[in-house]
Amino acid sequence: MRIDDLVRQAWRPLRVYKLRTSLSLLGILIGVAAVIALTTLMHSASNSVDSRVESLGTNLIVATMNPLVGASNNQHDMTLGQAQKLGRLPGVSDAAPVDYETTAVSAGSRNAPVTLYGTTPHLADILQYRLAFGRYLTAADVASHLNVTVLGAQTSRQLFGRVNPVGRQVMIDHEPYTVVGVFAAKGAFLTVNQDAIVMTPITTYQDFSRIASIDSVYIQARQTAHLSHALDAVNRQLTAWFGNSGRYTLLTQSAILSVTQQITGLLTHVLVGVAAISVLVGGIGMLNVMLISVSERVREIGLRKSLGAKRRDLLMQFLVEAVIISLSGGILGVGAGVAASLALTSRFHIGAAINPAVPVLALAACVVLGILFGIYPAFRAARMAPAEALRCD
Amino acid sequence: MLQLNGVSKIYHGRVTTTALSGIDLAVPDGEFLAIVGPSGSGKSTLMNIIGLLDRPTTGQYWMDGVEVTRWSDAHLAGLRNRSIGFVFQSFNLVPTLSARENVELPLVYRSVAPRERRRAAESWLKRLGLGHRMDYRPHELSGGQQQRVAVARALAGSPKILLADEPTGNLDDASRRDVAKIFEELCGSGQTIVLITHDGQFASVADRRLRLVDGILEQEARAASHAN
Ligand SMILES: Nc1ncnc2c1ncn2[C@@H]1O[C@H](COP(=O)(O)OP(=O)(O)O)[C@@H](O)[C@H]1O
Ligand SMILES: [Mg+2]
Repeated sequence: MRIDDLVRQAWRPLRVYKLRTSLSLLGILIGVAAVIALTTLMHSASNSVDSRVESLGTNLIVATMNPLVGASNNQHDMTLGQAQKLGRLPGVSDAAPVDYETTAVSAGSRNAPVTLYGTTPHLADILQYRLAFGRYLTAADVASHLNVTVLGAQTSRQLFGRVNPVGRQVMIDHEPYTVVGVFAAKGAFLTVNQDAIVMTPITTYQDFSRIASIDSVYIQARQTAHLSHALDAVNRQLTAWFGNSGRYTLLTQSAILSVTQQITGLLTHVLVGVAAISVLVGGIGMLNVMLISVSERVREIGLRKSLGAKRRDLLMQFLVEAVIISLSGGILGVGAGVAASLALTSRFHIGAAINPAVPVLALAACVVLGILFGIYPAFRAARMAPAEALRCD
Repeated sequence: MLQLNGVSKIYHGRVTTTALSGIDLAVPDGEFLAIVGPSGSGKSTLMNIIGLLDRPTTGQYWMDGVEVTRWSDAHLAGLRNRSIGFVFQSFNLVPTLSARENVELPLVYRSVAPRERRRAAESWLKRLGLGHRMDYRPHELSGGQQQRVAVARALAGSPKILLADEPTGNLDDASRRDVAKIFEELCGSGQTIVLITHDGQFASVADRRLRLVDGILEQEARAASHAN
């Protein structure tokens, strides 16, 4: 039997029984699409996390006060003075105390949800915010507990449209603030929108929240080479203040990176495992449809044998049928998966990173799957005794 | 020339059935042989053995002087493809293929090039009066037309023997006469035919008639009395 005839004979029933073919395609399509979308999404997300963490600079140290647990022997909180003192330690160039809450800001009748940061001028630097209008917070703002604020790009747009709002008033938690600046748009980081923010002086924040303690401090080492030196200095200082009773946690950029990489790596494995199971389920669905198709075509199989078809001819016909199904499912699945990847990454504001090896591997896996799940039905068709097959009705 | 010597077929199913016993039969080239017999007498079993679709339990099958009973399945498939053309009671056309593609099938399994086998299929379909139905699928054809497609398919591979198992069993009177006429013409052109039928009138156009009763082959009563 010629190869082109083999493909033609295998192809025909797929075209004629469209519904059956599409149903057996569908399982594989969904599985492959899920694998592609999930791997791409995880890959893109972890790239995005990495680049965000890296953009914080390789010389960032974050000191976070842990919540008080039970009757700790050291009940002290960090004060603003202590936070600022961390910035003057040897090897440290900058430190910004950070406290935040989610709230709403309004101007006239307009309202915008925001993350409110109480901090000092250094934070904008450390987090690499650039200005669009006006100015950053100043040391004087902090010292004088002024009701001034710098708006994120989106917040400014929501409240004032395209107008430059510097000098205008906004209300945050029922208190009036004067807008002194607007940040340039920064984009979202996963689902955290970095442009729906406002920054106010930490002193003002503490006045209104009635919380005198500092939650965390972003510390910048003078040079990457001095990071461990700076880390030691910070650690010694915090131990001197709070003892080593677990009151605080120190994280460096590389530590954050390895934690996020561990998390995304684990998530990737779990999700790809789930998706792979769905491909397997799709394959079993195809096996089922192929078995039904063989048992519905017993007479046809007998007839083909009476016309001189050898076992091998029938084995190959049904195998090719299975591979056509799984491969078309795979191709459509890759298409759907790539489309879903693009849609999801743009939805989450992260750059799509599609690894070209994934679709190629998925298609190769589909061929293997088609052979694997097609071999049994094909074998059943091939080994039928012709006289028996023809008697069947 | 095909020859059966002492062929029997015993089915070992839930119950053991002797479908054929001690069949001795020789069909010379060019003969039109009709086999008649009641239902369950073993006609289809005999056709399966003659058509190399099944192996006898005992006995030998000689085709053109070669004993083929012990040939491998693959060799038998090849022999079947070259030597036998089947026509079944229930047409057995492949439903997903057009009339032409059905007729081409034996040539597909012989690896004949598409252009060549297409020509063969078309010429047979035209000869059987289906020139205008070549691209129809089986369900778009009447029973008589379907059986003519099946006859064209059986003949497309130029088989040594045309084997027909009650080819008119599912047809109306007019189609039955058509098919009978086709067989008569084929016989006239030298085609060896083994026909199994209930239809006495159809059987009467054959050169020779045999009767199968409970798996035993006898001279057909009327033909026998004729000879006397
Ligand atoms: N595969 C089989 N298994 C068991 N018994 C069978 C099988 N095929 C045929 N038979 C039996 O053999 C006998 C002859 O059957 P068959 O050749 O189909 O008769 P006919 O075609 O003359 O009606 C019947 O009794 C039938 O039940
Ligand atoms: Mg029968």
